[in-house]
Amino acid sequence: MSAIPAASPQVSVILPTYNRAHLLPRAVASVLGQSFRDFELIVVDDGSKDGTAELMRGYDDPRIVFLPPERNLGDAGARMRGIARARGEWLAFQDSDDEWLPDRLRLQMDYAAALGPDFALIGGTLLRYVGGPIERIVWPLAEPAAGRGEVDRRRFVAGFCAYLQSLIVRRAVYEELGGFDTRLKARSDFEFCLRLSQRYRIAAVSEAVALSYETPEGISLRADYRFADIDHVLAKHGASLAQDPRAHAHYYYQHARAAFELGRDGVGRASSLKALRLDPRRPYHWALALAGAFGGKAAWRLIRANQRLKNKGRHAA
Amino acid sequence: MTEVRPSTAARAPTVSVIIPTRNRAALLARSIDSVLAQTFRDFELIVVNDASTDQTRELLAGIADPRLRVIHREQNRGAAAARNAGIGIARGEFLAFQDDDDYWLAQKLEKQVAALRAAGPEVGWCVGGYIVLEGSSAFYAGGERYFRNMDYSKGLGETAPDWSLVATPNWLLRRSVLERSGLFDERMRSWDDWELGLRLDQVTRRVHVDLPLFVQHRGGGMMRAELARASDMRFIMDKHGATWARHRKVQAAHWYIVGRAESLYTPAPAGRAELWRSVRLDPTRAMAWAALGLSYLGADFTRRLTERVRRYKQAW
Repeated sequence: MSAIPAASPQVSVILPTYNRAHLLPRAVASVLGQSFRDFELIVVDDGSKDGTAELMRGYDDPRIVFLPPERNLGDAGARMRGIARARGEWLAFQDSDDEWLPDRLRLQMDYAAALGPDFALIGGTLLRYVGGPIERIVWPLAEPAAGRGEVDRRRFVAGFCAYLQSLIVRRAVYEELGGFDTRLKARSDFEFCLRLSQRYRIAAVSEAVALSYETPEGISLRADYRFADIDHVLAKHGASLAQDPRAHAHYYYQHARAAFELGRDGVGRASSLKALRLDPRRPYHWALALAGAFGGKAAWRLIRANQRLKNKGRHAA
Repeated sequence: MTEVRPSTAARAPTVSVIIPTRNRAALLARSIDSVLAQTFRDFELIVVNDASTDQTRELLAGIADPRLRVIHREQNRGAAAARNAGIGIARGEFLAFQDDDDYWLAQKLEKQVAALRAAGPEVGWCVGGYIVLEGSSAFYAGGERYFRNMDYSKGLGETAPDWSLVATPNWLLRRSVLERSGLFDERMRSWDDWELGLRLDQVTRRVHVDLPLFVQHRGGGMMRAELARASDMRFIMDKHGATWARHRKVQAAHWYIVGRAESLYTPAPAGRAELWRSVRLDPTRAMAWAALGLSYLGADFTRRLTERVRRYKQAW
């Protein structure tokens, strides 16, 4: 575990963890079982008190680098501590409660090699299993039928597909951009990709690369975090988003939804109206603005009905 | 002649994992890696090389894990016979099966061993959910609801069509239940797992894990698989037909499976008699009437239509 091979690996896999000794073996196994083998796995223990260090000492794979706890830095801080130690040309990210699919690094690294240096980031489809149907989170391709290719920037900006577990990114580009903005609570990954997409080209494969077992209380599903993050992105990137009214409208729509979920009806109403004004062609912008006019409860009921309908559609598939 | 590479471990493992393989060297590595990477580590892995003519032998020779045991067979005798050969040298308390083109998720053995241990000795069979990747779609098969409705005595036509309890990668068995049920029937070409499932269902109870345990890639090679299934279904109706003597709808569903595949992939009038049989047994089966009508329009036309319908369904 301590022996460090002389040559730099092609990929550095960053895995921050905090009190997840019961889930960590799955996350680690799915990295070590990759068909692409030229990587280092940097496990950052962010102050666990549940035997994580003992568990990690039980592995004898020389590709594992274990960083023992120093002080609790939080999820993003721990990740950055791992990146500081990374030597690979590419960075890939694993979460302690997720599972990679076995060919993912090979698929994405092969494609990166074929595309060349213009592309700084390669995405892939993330599967999410929350009990019941599987949700697919895909990167919108400019030509969807091709199965892989350049990401359509407009639809990318409007969506929230950029989950860290699903992408690989050039380490040099990560450093040039100054890394993650730690003020974001749940979706610093998305904000990072938004910044990256302003300077570099992004491509993706449509194959599934990882399986997320996020529970409903999971961090990126929490309405308060979602609200705070969209709020922050609207403030920081408002000028750039304004160039595309439809994407901008989508942010306000999501902002309004999260606000209604939190019972902040005033903000919800204001944002739902902004979304409607920016893009009046979307029926759901009308629906949310109208429901909001009748009160936060009505808007909340509409959101729930919409979620149920979406789940039902996935069951039927 | 069969040549066995012996295990280097002295003690009997908890689980014996059996992979039958033939000429799939390109996929086999991923399948084996997904077993060796399991979070539950106390197993032996028995790979039965069914007379492959590609790089399978070299690939297996290059794997250093002491838990791997290999049987090389000189003559190709099919997956059922290969699985039985693996069972013949298995030493584990439990048996698990893997296919060379699927891969397991990391906790498959851990979850299923725990479920069988918790269920007690009268439960000899564990099944669970899995993820199907087909083209650009993904779905979860074999969940709790499906499991509740699964009943082998109802036949294939009345149960959900995703075969999740049927596919052997989904199973964990107590080795001892096979003494009562018997082994895989080596005369089967494709549905050997379903046929053994019929017998297992008579001698033991099942427990279910409602989590994705493995990933199955579908697509391609439909024709061979469907014809093999049609042939197996004929065989099953001969061997187990009495099971459904009073269930005309089940019989109709089974003959429809035979008739549709044969009318789709072999020259007319193959399959037409079976489709007539199906609609006589159950005149309410609209798909059988449709297949019967199409069988008079020719296999080419029908295949193109089927492909269109499939694509249309996937688009939704």
